[in-house]
Amino acid sequence: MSGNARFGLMVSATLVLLALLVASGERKELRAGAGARVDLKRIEQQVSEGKLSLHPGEFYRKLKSPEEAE
Amino acid sequence: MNSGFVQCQLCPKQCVLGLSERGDCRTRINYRGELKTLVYGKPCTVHKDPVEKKPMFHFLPGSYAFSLATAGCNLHCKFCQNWEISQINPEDAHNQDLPPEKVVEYAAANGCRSIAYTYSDPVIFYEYTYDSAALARKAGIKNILVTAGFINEKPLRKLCEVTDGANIDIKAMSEDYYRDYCGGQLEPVLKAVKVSVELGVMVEITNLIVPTLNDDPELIKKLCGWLLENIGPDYPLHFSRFFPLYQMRNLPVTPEGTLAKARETALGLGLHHVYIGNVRIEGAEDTYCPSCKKKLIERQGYFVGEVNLVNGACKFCGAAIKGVWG
Repeated sequence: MSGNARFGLMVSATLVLLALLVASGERKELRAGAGARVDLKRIEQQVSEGKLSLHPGEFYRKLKSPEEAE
Repeated sequence: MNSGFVQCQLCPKQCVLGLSERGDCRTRINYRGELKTLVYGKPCTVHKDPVEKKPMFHFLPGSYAFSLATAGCNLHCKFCQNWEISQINPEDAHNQDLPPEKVVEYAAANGCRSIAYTYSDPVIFYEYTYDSAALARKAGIKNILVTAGFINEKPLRKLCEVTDGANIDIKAMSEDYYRDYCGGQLEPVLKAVKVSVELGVMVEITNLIVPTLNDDPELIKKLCGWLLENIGPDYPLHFSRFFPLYQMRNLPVTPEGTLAKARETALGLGLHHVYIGNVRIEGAEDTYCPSCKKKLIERQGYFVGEVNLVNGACKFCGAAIKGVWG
């Protein structure tokens, strides 16, 4: 591979990485409120009083690691 | 090997939740490695409203909608008009125990021809909405979503199977606006409008005009242009008046002139049914026949007066009018 081709490849790879970084940053900003910890004891107490539910949610997936997230 | 993390795929935020963490909507949590909703059958607000209040003007006019909401929301609009329930955690709300069977039973007992999933956003009480709507369908009661439309396509398509009407907010034709003032994105909302129409849902659009933020006439024109191009001229558009609430108390109430001008612009561009809400402006709540221009439905606030429709068509010239009329 010529020097020019290698340089072009490196520039392209850098641009792709930058685009991914920006996209993932936007997604993180979008769900800024997510990840707050809940007080499970309080929730379980309210569930037992009929004020809250722990009903199965639809449309989710289990992750092998957080990095696997879309 | 499971990490204990889950990713919610209900709305475009796609929140990633570790154990005992909640989503951005506040209602969905990771409970011992499973996604659970805290609000199934636990509304914090239940009312019997005129369907015009939703607003749904082309949907069983003069009827009542059994209306409910849970706490939480997947958007965080700084101008939210229902922030007392949309921006709190479900465990801090005064919730009732009202399973789907009871929702349908109470709707029928109160003479409501529809159930409206409203006030906050049915997206965040999705499973409750779906199950209630499915039961309502069987009981001959119609279902209305009052929503910001910030939902992924797959769950939306499923929900549309049991939905008859939807008022979808388009907050502004600007990604910057959605990002800066709502914590959301425009594109999925536009997609939701198109998918809902495609699946036969009677859609009405609301645009809350907030002074200095989204009252630029170019944004209004852009909205009308998008509607004309993508769903046509017959789906109603409501321009709604903003009142200074939540984090936008520094802004004034939307001037009547701004709303009237927006309506004039939309009608001028070719939309057939354009209304003004949250304020009384003579004639701006009435429905007119786009063909012969005669008044078809007279409204004063939530009161419906004369109705000149026969089988969904203009009594005078026979033109069909888009809507759910009987």
